[in-house]
Amino acid sequence: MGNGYAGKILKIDLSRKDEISTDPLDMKFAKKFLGGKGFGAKLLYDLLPPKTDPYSPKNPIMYVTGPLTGTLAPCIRYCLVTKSPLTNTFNDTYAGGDFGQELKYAGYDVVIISGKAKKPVYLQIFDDDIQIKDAQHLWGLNTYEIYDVLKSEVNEKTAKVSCIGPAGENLVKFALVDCDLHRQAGRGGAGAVMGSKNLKAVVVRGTNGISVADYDRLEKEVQKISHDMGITDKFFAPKLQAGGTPAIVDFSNEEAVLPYKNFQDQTSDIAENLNDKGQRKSFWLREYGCFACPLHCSKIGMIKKGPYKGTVCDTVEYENVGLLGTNCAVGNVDALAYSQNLCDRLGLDAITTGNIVGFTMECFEKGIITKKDLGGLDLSFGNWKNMMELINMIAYRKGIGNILAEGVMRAAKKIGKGTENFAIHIKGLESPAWAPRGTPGVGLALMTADRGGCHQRSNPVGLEVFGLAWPGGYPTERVSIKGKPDLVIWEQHHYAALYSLLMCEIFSHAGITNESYASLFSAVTGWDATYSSLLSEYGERIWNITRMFNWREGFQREHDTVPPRFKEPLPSGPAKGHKFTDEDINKMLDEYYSKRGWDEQGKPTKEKLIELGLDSMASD
Amino acid sequence: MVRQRVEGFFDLCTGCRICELVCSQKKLGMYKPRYAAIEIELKSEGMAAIPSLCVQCEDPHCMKSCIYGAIEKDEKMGIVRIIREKCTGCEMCIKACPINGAIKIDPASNKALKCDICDGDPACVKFCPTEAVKLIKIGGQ
Repeated sequence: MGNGYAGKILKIDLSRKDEISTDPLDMKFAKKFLGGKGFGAKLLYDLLPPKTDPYSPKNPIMYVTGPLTGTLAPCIRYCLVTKSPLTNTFNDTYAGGDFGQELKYAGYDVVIISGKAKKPVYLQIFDDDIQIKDAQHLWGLNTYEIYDVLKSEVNEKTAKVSCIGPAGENLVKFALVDCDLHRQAGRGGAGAVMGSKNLKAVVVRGTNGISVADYDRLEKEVQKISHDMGITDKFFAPKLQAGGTPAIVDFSNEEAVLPYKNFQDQTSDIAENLNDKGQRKSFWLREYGCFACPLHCSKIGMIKKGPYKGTVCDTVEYENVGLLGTNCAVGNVDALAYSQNLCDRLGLDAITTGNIVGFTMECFEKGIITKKDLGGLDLSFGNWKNMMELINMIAYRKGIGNILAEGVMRAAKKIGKGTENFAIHIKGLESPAWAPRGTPGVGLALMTADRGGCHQRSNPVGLEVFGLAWPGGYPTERVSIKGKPDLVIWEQHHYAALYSLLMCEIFSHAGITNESYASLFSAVTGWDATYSSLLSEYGERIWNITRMFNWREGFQREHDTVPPRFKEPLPSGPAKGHKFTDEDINKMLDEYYSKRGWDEQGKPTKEKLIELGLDSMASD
Repeated sequence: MVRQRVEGFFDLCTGCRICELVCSQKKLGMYKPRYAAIEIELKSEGMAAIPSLCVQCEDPHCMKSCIYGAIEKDEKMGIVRIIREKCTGCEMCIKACPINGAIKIDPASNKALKCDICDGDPACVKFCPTEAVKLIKIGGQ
């Protein structure tokens, strides 16, 4: 009887071609850390000496799957784990598609790549046949060009490819890793770490199967989930199925949480051009589903008119609508779709790119950066033609692009002249499209997220705006800080546990109950679990490991804060006037640390670590 | 005479490969989509996902190419079946069949596998979220 795991960890040192080995997956380890984020957190903590340069050959890049990956469990992803060159924090970044599944079929739960190749290489994983191959002819290709070349070279049309674009080669600190067409592990610069190792791509083909403990139970649970998705008053599924994540744009704009002009405001009149209806009219042709996903929130199509006509694009996801779109005051949906596609092809995280372009536009508006600095470009807000130029300059580190390629925190420091006041980042990670003024819980979530200001570690916006209770919790008032630490702690455990199972957070909003995840987990592994046991057992443990990692890197209370802009009153919308005061920030942090069993600087106490079974970290 | 087959409709297919998963589980006892009797192929930079599988030919090339008599036609049900006990894994049926991915050799057993419409209750049809695979019946009573 199987338990979903492939059973092996593959270890490759690119510095030494003969250093390829496999370890059996220790089931005690699996039972303690699940997979995905949990595996990645524990492995990175143990493997990487503190304060190591992220571009050091010692910093591993790990492809991590979980027990559910490759089974019928709906929409399960894989993640890349490494120390981020952008933030110097722990970094786990996720992608859908079917690359992770293929890794499992090749026989591996985790692939740990360390070292640095002397010349560009790609890694070929065909079951037990592992080869490090020359990639000099692939260097310079964009992420779309590489697939056909590589698949025909390895003579395997069903092989799956994960690769970097020019941005990763040029060590742009927010370079992404592309996973076959249209799926990206975007945040935190995993692509730059690959680039630093001279690793252009990983190509994988697996001929094995995955066995699970209880096929009948798994099938029944999947059928129940699919059935529940059709119940319109129960879930957002029909809306997300029809419109994908851009279907959320109207909500965000009406509730004023959608960044506009480098987060100067949080609502605008251009957002309605860029929502699901706008995109459908512009280019959508068909629904696209990740592996084993019955929701198929993604859409794909072709731009029909204008300078970018004929470009095949996938959904401009909500985040990119908010950053490359409204944050840059770009209201032209064709241009927006092309800009996302351009980021994907160059291998740039589109969230960070949109944030930085917005920052540069504000610098231009204020006269801090001029046409001369931009090689003659007029970079007024909304100038999408020149935005494309700037995106290219960043990927190839040309002109001012060389400074911007370092991320907004370092760019603002270099440019100076007060620009640090409107560099919108937390711990160096550029803020996502959930502008937090008016929802203090979102602010606390961004302040305390483990890879810098990320919305995917907790994003309680819906619960705050609608005043809803969370499972086992209670309703809160939108602009009040009361109850927000409890809410954020619950969500962080929720995401830490379920990201260890490689849940897709879009799918989690669309027709799958929390208990269903526990049931899928039990059906696959044969291990008993409930939703609350997953959170209390795994969620809290894993969250404390990443906190300890970041603590060891030097992060503490002073880094858990919001950028200066969020301390200015919000100009408009339902929460007009709201801002983050130092008093509110400190009150929330005090309560948050204390309820977590952390000291006042935000370090997990010895007692807490021992309680969580992390004895080996208790003396660190 | 009855003809029936599972037919794929690319205009409805999202490329999620649930069909490959449930097919492989039913036929091979595990999730092993590479060797399923249905295959999804992406085309046009991902703008189309094309399901392909056996059409249960009236005059099957695979059957006529098999010198071991390992492929038979069930005229009553309209299903072209592989007799696993007789199959040697020689791949001549794959060479003879013009449809992408319709016949596979699972290396674990070295036997050919193709769609037999699960004897009238196909798993892929049951689980497809968009009705992009349908059981089609032609003729008969």
